[in-house]
Amino acid sequence: MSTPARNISAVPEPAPAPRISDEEALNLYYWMVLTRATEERALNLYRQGKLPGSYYTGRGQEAISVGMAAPLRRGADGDWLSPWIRDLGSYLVHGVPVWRMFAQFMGKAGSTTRGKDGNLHIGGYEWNIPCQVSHMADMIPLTVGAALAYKQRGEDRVAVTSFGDGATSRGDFHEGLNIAAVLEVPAVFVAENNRWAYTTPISKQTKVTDLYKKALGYGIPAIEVDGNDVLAVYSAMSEAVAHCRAGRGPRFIECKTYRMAGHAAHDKYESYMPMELLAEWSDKDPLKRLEQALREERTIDEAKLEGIRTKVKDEVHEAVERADDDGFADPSEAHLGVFAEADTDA
Amino acid sequence: MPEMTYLEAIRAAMHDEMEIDERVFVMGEDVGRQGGAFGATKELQQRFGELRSIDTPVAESGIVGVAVGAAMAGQRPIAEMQFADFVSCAYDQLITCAAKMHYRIGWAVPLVVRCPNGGGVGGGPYHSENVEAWFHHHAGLKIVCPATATDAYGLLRSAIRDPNPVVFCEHKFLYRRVKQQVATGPRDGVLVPLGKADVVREGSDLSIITYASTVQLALAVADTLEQEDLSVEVIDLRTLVPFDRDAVLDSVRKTGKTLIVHEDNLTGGFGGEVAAVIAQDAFEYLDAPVRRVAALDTPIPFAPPLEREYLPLEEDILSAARDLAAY
Ligand SMILES: Cc1ncc(C[n+]2csc(CCOP(=O)(O)OP(=O)(O)O)c2C)c(N)n1
Ligand SMILES: [Mg+2]
Repeated sequence: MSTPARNISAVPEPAPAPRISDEEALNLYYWMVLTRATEERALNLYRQGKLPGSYYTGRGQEAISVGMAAPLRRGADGDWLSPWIRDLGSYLVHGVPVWRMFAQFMGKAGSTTRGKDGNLHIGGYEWNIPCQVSHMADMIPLTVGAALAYKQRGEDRVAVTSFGDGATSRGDFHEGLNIAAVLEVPAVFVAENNRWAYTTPISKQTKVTDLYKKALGYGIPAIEVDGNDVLAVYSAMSEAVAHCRAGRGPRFIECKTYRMAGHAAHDKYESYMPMELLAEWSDKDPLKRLEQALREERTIDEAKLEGIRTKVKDEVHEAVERADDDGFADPSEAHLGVFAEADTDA
Repeated sequence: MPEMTYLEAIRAAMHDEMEIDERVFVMGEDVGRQGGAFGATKELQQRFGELRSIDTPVAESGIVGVAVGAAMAGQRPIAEMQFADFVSCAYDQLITCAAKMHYRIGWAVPLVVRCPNGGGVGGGPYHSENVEAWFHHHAGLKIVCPATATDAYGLLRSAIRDPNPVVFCEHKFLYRRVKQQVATGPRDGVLVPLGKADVVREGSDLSIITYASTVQLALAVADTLEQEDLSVEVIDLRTLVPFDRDAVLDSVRKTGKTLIVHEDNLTGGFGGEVAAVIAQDAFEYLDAPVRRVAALDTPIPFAPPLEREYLPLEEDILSAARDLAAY
């Protein structure tokens, strides 16, 4: 008698057709427009030489950054969110004010790190956003640890992190996923497969280019979604979060997308990225797609969308002004904060 | 007061903190049912359950990373490395995430990583390492190196309560070899603060600055030299970060002669930092060059005669102290 083959962890059924209200969809639209506008403005500032360091954009990946953060609870008592450097939108949705993003890029005192760290190394206890480190995949075990803490205390909170396809080659990705699966913690892993890691195409990164399959190998239920469709990301994420809150262990979502520019603003990507593919993916732009869905499937008034875009324009304008007016931290700040005096100074 | 070994004191410290603070938990390879490779976490799982004494996969980077996240989310994790040597696999998590989080965003990481440290047990190159110097260069980590059962207990309890990441280097040669009456108990146990060196023996002719396994050797040397009418002061640093500069400088200013001793190898060892501080801040008080006794600058060999050759022994310390006294 033979035992039938059994999957240790079946691919979950695709989420039911999203029942997302118009109001929710418009809310997602607002965050996507805000994300795009903030990044465009920051890139301009960088090109004018007004931002030190380099500049990384998540253009074309806003559906992921916004869609993954939107279903989460905000605030110090809310869900842990550790987004990747492409995910400016996640920071905004999870509560970081726009002006502080600009202050961060400028290294001003009002940055969440008081000028001690740059780009999207943003965080703070008040938002339950740990400050990501440069080292790819390091935040994965940390996220598992936060999820473990929630499980130990019997809280129905979840811990979420995102990372690129390149990060899936690092040990901490594998150690983190494996521990999460064994300890059955409420963590959601969001892989952003944009098919490039700096100049390295995914084919040279891994033989298993469907990243969700790696998670299945660890016994974590995993799915892939269209990473350029914010409604799809949002519903997949909502479903995964509900699963975690119910105490059913970790989940993994692979968002398939494409990197729409160089690794960073300084990167001469024209020399290695095929232009035809960029053009093709440009037609799948997540913002355009959402606008189309709002107009055509939901028959939302163009004036309403225009209203959102105007509001965002004003917000970004004010944010840049405020960050511009902000000073740098006193140089004495460089000496401070190596050690905590007490838990509560967080 | 019960008499207990250094190892039992470590277990008692974790037990007592777990009794009074439900945020405290232990995690690591085989720490649960088995109580760890050395028995440091024995019966903690039976007492506190599987969520507070967690057997993990063999994944040191993952273990420390998970502990950092849990600490940030309000718990008080104690992560055990099965042997200190394996903390090399978790090095990145310690210096990249644990050490720099508070500096960047003011979010505390109250974490202890316990490292069964050191040689003298026939462990060979991969089960004998002294790891404290791997970390003291990095701002943001505290480093504790107890020499006695009382200190192992009191320093570990302080480390667990400290809001910072602490690398706790417990010397496994001492585990069952040193014994003391230790005041334990969730409420009555005696804590030892981090950052305060201990003048374990007062003297006036020569200072031996040391920590961990070589404290006992220094005391034996001091006994021997007493017969020769030499008065040796022995300072046990207890913690390398924070470093009790004042205790070292006070002693050196008094005796004018300093011998720095550690089991870790010489080059890049913590003794170099101690020597530099003395050279800068007690130069006018010195009657002789500062000397160091430490292990060879080689990997730690396995065979007993080779390991003895590698380690700083009592006779090495004695002859260096005699030379220094005669200078
Ligand atoms: C451990 C580590 N090695 C190298 C780097 C340098 N680096 C920064 S981003 C990057 C590629 C990231 O690729 P991916 O994970 O796919 O994310 P994407 O940039 O595509 O969003 C590299 C190699 C790093 N940050 N961390
Ligand atoms: Mg990528």
